[in-house]
Parts: sequence; C-alpha cells; structure tokens
Amino acid sequence: MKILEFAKKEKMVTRDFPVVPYEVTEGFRGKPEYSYEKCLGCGACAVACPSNAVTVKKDEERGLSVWKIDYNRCIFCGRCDEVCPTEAISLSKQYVMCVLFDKEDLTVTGEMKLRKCDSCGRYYSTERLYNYVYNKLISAGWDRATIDEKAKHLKFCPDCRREQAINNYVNQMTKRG
Amino acid sequence: MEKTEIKGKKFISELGNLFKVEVIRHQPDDQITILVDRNDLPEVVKTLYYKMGGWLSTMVANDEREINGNYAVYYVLSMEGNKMEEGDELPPEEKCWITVKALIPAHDPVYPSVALKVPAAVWYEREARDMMGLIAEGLPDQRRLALSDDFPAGIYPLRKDSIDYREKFAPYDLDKEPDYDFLYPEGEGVMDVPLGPTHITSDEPGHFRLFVDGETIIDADYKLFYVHRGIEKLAENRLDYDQMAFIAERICGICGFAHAVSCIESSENVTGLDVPLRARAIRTICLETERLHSHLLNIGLASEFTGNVTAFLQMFKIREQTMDMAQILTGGRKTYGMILTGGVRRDITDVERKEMNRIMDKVEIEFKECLDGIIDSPNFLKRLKGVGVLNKKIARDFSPVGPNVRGAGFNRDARYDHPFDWYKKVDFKVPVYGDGDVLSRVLVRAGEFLESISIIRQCLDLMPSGPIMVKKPFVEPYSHGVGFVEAPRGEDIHWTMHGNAQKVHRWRVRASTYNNWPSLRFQFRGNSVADAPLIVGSLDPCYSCSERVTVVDVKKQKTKIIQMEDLKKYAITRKDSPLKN
Ligand code: SF4
Ligand code: SF4
Repeated sequence: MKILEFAKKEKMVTRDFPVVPYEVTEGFRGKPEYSYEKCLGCGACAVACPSNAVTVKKDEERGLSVWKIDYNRCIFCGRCDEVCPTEAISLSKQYVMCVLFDKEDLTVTGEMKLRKCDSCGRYYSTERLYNYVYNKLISAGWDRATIDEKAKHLKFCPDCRREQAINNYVNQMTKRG
Repeated sequence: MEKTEIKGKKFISELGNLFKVEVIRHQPDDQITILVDRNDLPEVVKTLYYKMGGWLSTMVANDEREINGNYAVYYVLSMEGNKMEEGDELPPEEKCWITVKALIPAHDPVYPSVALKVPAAVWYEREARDMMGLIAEGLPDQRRLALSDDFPAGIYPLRKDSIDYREKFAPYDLDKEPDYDFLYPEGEGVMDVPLGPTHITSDEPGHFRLFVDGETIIDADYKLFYVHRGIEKLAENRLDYDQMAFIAERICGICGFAHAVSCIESSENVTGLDVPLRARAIRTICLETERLHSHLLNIGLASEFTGNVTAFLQMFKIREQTMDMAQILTGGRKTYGMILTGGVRRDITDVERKEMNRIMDKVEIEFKECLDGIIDSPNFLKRLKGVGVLNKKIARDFSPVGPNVRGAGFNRDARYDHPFDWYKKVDFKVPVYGDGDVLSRVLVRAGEFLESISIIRQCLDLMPSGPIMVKKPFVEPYSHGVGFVEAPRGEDIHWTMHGNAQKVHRWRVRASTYNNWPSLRFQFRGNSVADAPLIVGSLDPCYSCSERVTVVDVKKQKTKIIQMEDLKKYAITRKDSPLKN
C-alpha cells in the first residue's frame, strides 16, 4: 500500500514531552504572568479581559483592593497585556497549566491598600494608583504646592469631585451675577 | 439581462408588482432589507427562493418591543441563482443579500409558516418558537428544537423580559424529564436505533434515531442542542464589540476564526467601516489556514472510519504543521484572538512570511502523496462511493452549505458568490463534484485544501503594506446587518442588530452545520447502519455527535442501544453486526 511507503519516509515525529519541552515560536501567546510589585490596582486589565479571568474587587472591610486572575478562565488573548500601564501583567511563553487536585492553585491574587477620599472618607482608589499619578506629575516638573492647588481633585472620590465641580461652577456663575 | 446599478433592485421591483413591499434599509451596497406584511411572508420568501434564485441563509426572530412595540422576523436570503445546472446562476453584479422583515404584534405573536413553502425554514421556525415564543402557524413540526424538554413552559429565553438575572432556578429532578417525541415512520414493523446523546465531555452531543429494516436505514430523526450555551443572550446588552469577537470564536473549536470574522464583519458592514487592505489580507490568510487544518482533520477521520488508521495518523502528522502555521500567524495553536472591530491585532513580518511559505511547500507535497495513498487503498473508494447521497432536489429545498452542497453539484461558496475581504483580489477555483455521496465531499475537501494553499500564497505575495487597524466608528442604534464567511464547513452567517450604548441588541449566530442537519435525514435513507457514522462524519460536524445509537427494527418492533465503540468497530470491520444478538 502506498500509504505505508509514505509513512516510512518521514522519521518519528513523536517527541519526548514533557521531558523535552515543546518549543514554541517567537511571539507565542502564553500564560499571563503577574508582577505584584508593579501593579497599581487600576483595574484596566479587568475591564479589558473578555472572559472575566481578571477581576479587581474592593474589600471595604479590610480596606483592600483584591486583584485576582483565574487561569481556568483565561483564553490567552493578551488584552490585559495591551492595556496595563506598568507592564504588571504580560504574556509569557508558559503553556503548561497542570495542577493537582485543587483548582485554586490556578489563581493568583494580589491585595493592595485602598485610599480614602479626603472629603467623604469612602474608599475610592488604591494608594498605589494615587502615588503613581502623583509621582508622574512630579516627574513632569510640577512641585508639591502646584499639585496641591491644581490637582487637588486627585484626593477626592468621583462623587465628591463631581459635587465640587458643580459647586465651583455655581459659585463662579453667582459671583459673575 | 439588463444591468442594475444598485444590487438587488431588480428583485425588489419585480416583487413590488406582486406584493406590498417597502425597502427599509440599504446598507452596505449588497444588503437590502424589505418590510412586508406578515401574511405575505410565505409567498414573498417562496418567490425570492424559487423564482429568483435565493437560498435561505438564516432567519432571525427579534424582540423589538422597546423599539416599535412588535416582535419581528427576518428571513435572510442569499441571492445567487438556482444553480441546478451549470451556468444557471446570477451574474456577479446581481448577487446580493435580501432580508425580508415582517412585524409581528406583541399581543398576537403568530405568523404563517414559511416552512410549508420553503422547507429550509423548518429548523429556524422551530427555534423561533422555542426562544422567542413566536408561533409559525401551520409549521409541520411543532416539537422543541433548541430548548431541552424539561425547560419550563412559557419562558422564552431571548425575549428581553424573559428572566430576572438575579433569579436562581432550583435544580431540576432528572427523573421527571419528559421524553422527546421522536418521529416514528408509519407502517408495519419498523425498528428504532437510538444514537446518542453523548458523553458529557464531548463538545457537541446529539441523539440520533435510525429506523431500520434489517440493516437498511429507512428513516432517521435526531435531537441536538444538548449543550445550548446561550451565547447569543450572553452578548446582548453586555458585551461591547471588542469583547464579542473573543466570545464568538469560542463558538467552535475548529472554525473559531470564521465565527469571529463573521461576527465582527456583521457590525463593520453596518457602519460601512473601511477596514485597511492589509488587515483584510491577514484575515483571509487566517481563514484559509483554518480551512487547511480543518479539512485535514476531516479527511483523516474519513479514513479512520473506513479502518485506515495509518492514513488518519499521517493526515494528523501533516495537520500538525498547519497548526504551526497558525502559531506563527497568531501566537497560538489555533487562529484565536486575532481580530477586533476595525482590523486585526497582529501583523505578519517578513521572516514569518518566509517561514509560512516554507511550511506550505512541504505540506502541499506531503498532502498530495498522502491523499494518493489513501485513495489508492481498495477499501476506501468502495466504502465511500454512493453512500449518503444528497439528492439535488432536496439540496435545493434545504439550502445546505459547504462541501456538502458542493459535493452535490452546486457551486455555492460565500467566497465566490459574495467575495468579502481579499477574495475579490485572489484567483481560486471552487471544486464541485456532482455525485452527492461521501466520496464527493472528501474530494471537494481535498480540492479546496490545495486551493487554500494557493490563496494563502497569493495573499502573502500581494499583501499591501499599511496600517492593520482603524478606529471604531459610532454605530447607529438599531441598525442591523449580515456578516458572512465561508468557514471550512460552509457559509457561516452572523446577524447583529445594534443597541444603545454601543452594545449589541440582538446577535444571531448561524453556524454552518445548522443548515446541513435538516437534509441529513434524507441522506441516511437507504444506507446500511454500518455507514451511519460515515455519513454523519462527512458533514464534518463534531464527531461526538454519534456517540451512541438506538436502532429500531421496523419489522421486529425492537429497540436496541449500541455503543459508539461497537458501531465504529462495525463500520470498520463490517463483521459481527451489533444488531444481531
Ligand atoms: S490574556 Fe486575555 S483572558 Fe487572559 S487574563 Fe489577559 S485579558 Fe483576560
Ligand atoms: S492594568 Fe496592570 S496595573 Fe492595572 S490592575 Fe491590571 S495589572 Fe495592575
């Protein structure tokens, strides 16, 4: 039979996986690796993730923002990698995802301290994100006084910011008469 | 034939002489939507289908109560000509999509059944009844299609107000599950062979019932949708267009990219978005790469079912290299995660292009040799020839797609009929074989495989440089459009209506095999039970579909359940029929 001749032509193609790892190509999209040190807890990745593998939740009781990735849900699309401002999450070439017995082993969590709004006292962002933006402004050449004056809204939650903006506007308008 | 400037205008004016029709949408150039009275619906669709050469591509039931107080049904027809014999088709400038819309008042959700006039609509109307509670008056088959038999009556999942999302349903007592009412052929002494449902691990289980007389199948009935995932509902009002592509490609494990392109292009078509040429070429390359590995899989499995396991493994050896091509293109073994509205996410570099060409050269030679070896084996031709014949007339009535219809002598191919992406720019042939049997389907796939390689080569050579992504436009609320792709298994249609907040209002997915199922029953008839897996397999659905079979003997009035393993063994050896005890 011709098919046997064809089969004989090529050598064995079976490889000794997992003893010899399978080589992936350049630009392979593998398991996203998380670096807690770099993460700001901004949540951009959680918004971008199409399969809800990454979630960022507020834990008000403990005052923490809980970042979590569940590799069971991850589809290796790399959207998180695209949006992360600090490269805290980026795709690696890892593809072996076996765990024994416990599915929780396929999750990674990071907890970050939340920051309170200077006006109403509710949690609204992480300390890290606040510092990140603050330092960005410093490195852009602003000094602390300017920041406190011009960017004081950084210290307030979105609700208070909105309220203040409206109040400012109303004050201006009434002043002008 | 006089030329028409706006595609499809000719059909509309002809229709206008017979019925009251109103053109309500004309975007993009080759997609027209007309509104007709619900009582005219069957006749309008019939006229378009049989007189003007339309094929039913999909049907959508939609809840438009927030928009205009009504439900609506949309019958999407692909106008390409009857194609019953060579040359019997529309000229390229007249091929278009015509969508027939009818409003159905919310207080009286009934419309006359189109399926009586156009059999291709049977499944769609059954599904519309399940999902939207729209009753097709006179529909011959009133059984459930998509919902499970124990789903509570009176809940129509795709209605906008069907459920409170916070509600949790109590687990159902399986013992109470009612039986599905399979069709039983009339007459004395029929035996019934159930096939399926399957393993929980298989991705697409189905339950087949074969009615046999001795060893010959005289009729068949089947129930699918055991794992309906509700993806359409999931998308509604929740996913934005960037996320939708990633969900769409999870519809299928083989032709995922086709679904993503079809889904995204349905929304791009609506806005008339001008996707950059380079992105279009890359989409085409990925689509064809997907076809390569899908066809290798199917040809391999066809050999396995005839007992040629060597050939099966050799095909898979070749297939592995096409998976490498996918890895080079997209960074994953499958062509996933590539596409967003407005373009693609990853470009092809020069090095990658060369590597692709190198692999393709090798694959092409090996494929030819291997195919030669398979066809050369004496068993193969004998087993495939004349089995599972799709009659031309039945094919015309049921609008099947893909290698199934091309194996029955019709040159239906979305790439050829409605060239999208880069298919306008490349040369390719549409392989057509006229016997309608399993062998024809295998040969069509073999022919297409080589064409796909040539298409990828042309794309790689001629691909223009430039951007691969443009910005997403604003989508006008409640506009709708069709997205279409020729997936490895046939034309794959997505229909989207856009809602507020730049999210989707209704997303209708019609995977290729959906259109191939209704006519399968006729393909079974007259064949031996041993050929049943081969016939189902030749449609290239997921193989899990035929895990178990019930055989019903018409004469002896007996039922027997056969395990898939036994049936497969019988299909290979043709000895020790499992029907005998
Ligand atoms: S790779 Fe995709 S699915 Fe996985 S965490 Fe990132 S965004 Fe989510
Ligand atoms: S986008 Fe990056 S920085 Fe922001 S939460 Fe995700 S991983 Fe952390």
